[in-house]
Amino acid sequence: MTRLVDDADFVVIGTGAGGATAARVLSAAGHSVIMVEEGPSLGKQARARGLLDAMSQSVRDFATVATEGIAPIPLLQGRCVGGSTAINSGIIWRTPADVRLAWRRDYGLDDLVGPGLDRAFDVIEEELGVATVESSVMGGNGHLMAHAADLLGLPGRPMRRNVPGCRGRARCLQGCPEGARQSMDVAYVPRALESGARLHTLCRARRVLFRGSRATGVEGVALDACTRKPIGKFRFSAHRAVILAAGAIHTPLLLLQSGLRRNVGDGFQAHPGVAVLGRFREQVGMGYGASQAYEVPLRDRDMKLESISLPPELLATRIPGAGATWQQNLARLNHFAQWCAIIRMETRGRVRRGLFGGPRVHYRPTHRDVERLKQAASLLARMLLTAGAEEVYPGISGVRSVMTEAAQADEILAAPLRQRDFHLMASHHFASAKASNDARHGVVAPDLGVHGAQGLYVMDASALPSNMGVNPQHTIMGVVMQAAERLAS
Amino acid sequence: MTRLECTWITDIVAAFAPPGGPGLAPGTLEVDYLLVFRRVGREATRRAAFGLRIAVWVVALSPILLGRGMRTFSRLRPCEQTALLGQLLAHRLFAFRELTLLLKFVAAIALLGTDSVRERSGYDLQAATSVQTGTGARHHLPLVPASEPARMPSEPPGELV
Ligand SMILES: Cc1cc2nc3c(=O)[nH]c(=O)nc-3n(C[C@H](O)[C@H](O)[C@H](O)COP(=O)(O)OP(=O)(O)OC[C@H]3O[C@@H](n4cnc5c(N)ncnc54)[C@H](O)[C@@H]3O)c2cc1C
Repeated sequence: MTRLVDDADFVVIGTGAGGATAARVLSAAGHSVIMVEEGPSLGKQARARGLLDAMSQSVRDFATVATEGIAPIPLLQGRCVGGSTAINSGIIWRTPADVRLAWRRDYGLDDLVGPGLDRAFDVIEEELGVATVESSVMGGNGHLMAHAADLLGLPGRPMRRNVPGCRGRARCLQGCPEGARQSMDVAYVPRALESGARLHTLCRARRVLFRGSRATGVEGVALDACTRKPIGKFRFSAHRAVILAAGAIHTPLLLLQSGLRRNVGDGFQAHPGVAVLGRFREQVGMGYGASQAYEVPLRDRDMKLESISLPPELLATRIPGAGATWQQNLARLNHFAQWCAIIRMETRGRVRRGLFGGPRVHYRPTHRDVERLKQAASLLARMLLTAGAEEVYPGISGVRSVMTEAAQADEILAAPLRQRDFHLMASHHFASAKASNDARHGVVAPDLGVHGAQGLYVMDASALPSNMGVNPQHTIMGVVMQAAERLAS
Repeated sequence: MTRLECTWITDIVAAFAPPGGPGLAPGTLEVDYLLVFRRVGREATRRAAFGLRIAVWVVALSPILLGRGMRTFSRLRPCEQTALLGQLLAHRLFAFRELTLLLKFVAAIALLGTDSVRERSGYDLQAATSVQTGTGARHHLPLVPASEPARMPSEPPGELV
């Protein structure tokens, strides 16, 4: 077995929203930085169009990591350079004021969410070319949603995204073939490399090394590019600090594997999403336009509605039936629109280490969360029908599978539904190593340093103390940018 | 996987969209379902891979489990197979419908992951969207295959008629 050894001021685990931002700031400040990434580095030419190849390359375990229990919720995570930003839709949202207030009040994060956060947002938006989706790339799916919102008087708007020069290929999940999306593999990882940082891909960190309570490095295994089986070991030493940014599912695992337990993995939150499909007489053309283009934020109802153009393989799975009816619809894929709602669920779960070393995520939506799901699905069905859909497929067991009139959307509200009746998916994860100024309630302090350890930081979605009801990448980056700047100085 | 399981997989997954059916119908042997099933199983977590295998057994034995005689899925006539899949997908028992859905996922990936089939689906046409915009105008986007260069955002949007 080969053995890889390296050392630097900072060792950063993970190259997603958090890790790449930390590496970019620290290397720009003149520090030596090692970035460690479990997944491969994928250039835009390498990104496949077909879902099977695309997801095998960049999505952890083909999106089959899921919550425990009878009705598992898949937890989507990127596993490649850029992390989940390399498969996301590039939607950019500043942290809402009410969330900032709550984080100050309940967790003492005054510094992280104060005016410095707005400055960080300004920098990031400038560097990532954040702009509102232009009408020409909104696509039929987005335009239709705008139309529905208009008709129903809902407060919708085109999204803001970090995809300058988007050409509407509708391939955010598979990887932008133009390299237009400023995901971390395109934006901050290259910047860090230019500033002298080093990147070790296909290296899975297993545990943090300590001398006393001071983190001194990381060890793990190097993986084969094809089989992803271990082919060697590595040991990277950190002169100043180790930064964990492996995402809200894997950072707590690393902490647990490194012997840190207090509050680790507790309080995990998410934004599970529910989607509804509609078939229109006219062509919608989901294959053209920004993957996600239009949104209706309903913060007072803990939900945010979004247009979402899926790869045809996923779209087909959601169309009901088998045989002739299914096949007839498959021949008209171009006539479908799909919109989803992400729900700010109140429930809190926990992340633990499973039998084979992988994560076990316990997460059960509350009764109120399920009510939110019902409201969201009903509203989406109503919107699609109002926009002129001939047929709407809510994809919820226990209600009719095909709706043709707006009034039928109310059946979702009236039905005695449970979580298992919905098909959910969660791609926003939070709070599994919460920041708090009180060590009794958090894992990391407001400077994102792990309570009770020296030279060990968590700089990713795990440190955010709660979910927010909006897309999290920008908040993660803004919070990490400030914490990394303090660490750099 | 045993040879019996491989036969079951091909029979079950292919039955979601039988050749010769209406709409998007693959040709015989146009789609390699078994290969896709194997790959999905390899990429998935152990738990999910196990779930996939259980799904094959449950659907294969569903005629027996549902009291429809001592026949496996493979022994049913093609039209019966497809009808049974439809029933399982809508079954009131969570396990039946979710496990069947897993196999439908494989079917969809295999079907639309086959270039020739995907082309016939029309998904990649940049739709001539006829969307009523807020002003009541109809907004048309050009009908161009997505493989051709799309317009840059700086170029004028689709014509309004
Ligand atoms: C499909 C999808 C769409 C999304 N869309 C949006 C959107 O439009 N806007 C938005 O704001 N948010 C979106 N999100 C969420 C957003 O992308 C994430 O919240 C964000 O990227 C999380 O950042 P992170 O740094 O915590 O983790 P990640 O970005 O997931 O990065 C973690 C990295 O750590 C690596 N890693 C994990 N374990 C190890 C280990 N042991 N050793 C080495 N490396 C390891 C992983 O491979 C990964 O690259 C989306 C997410 C998904 C999955």
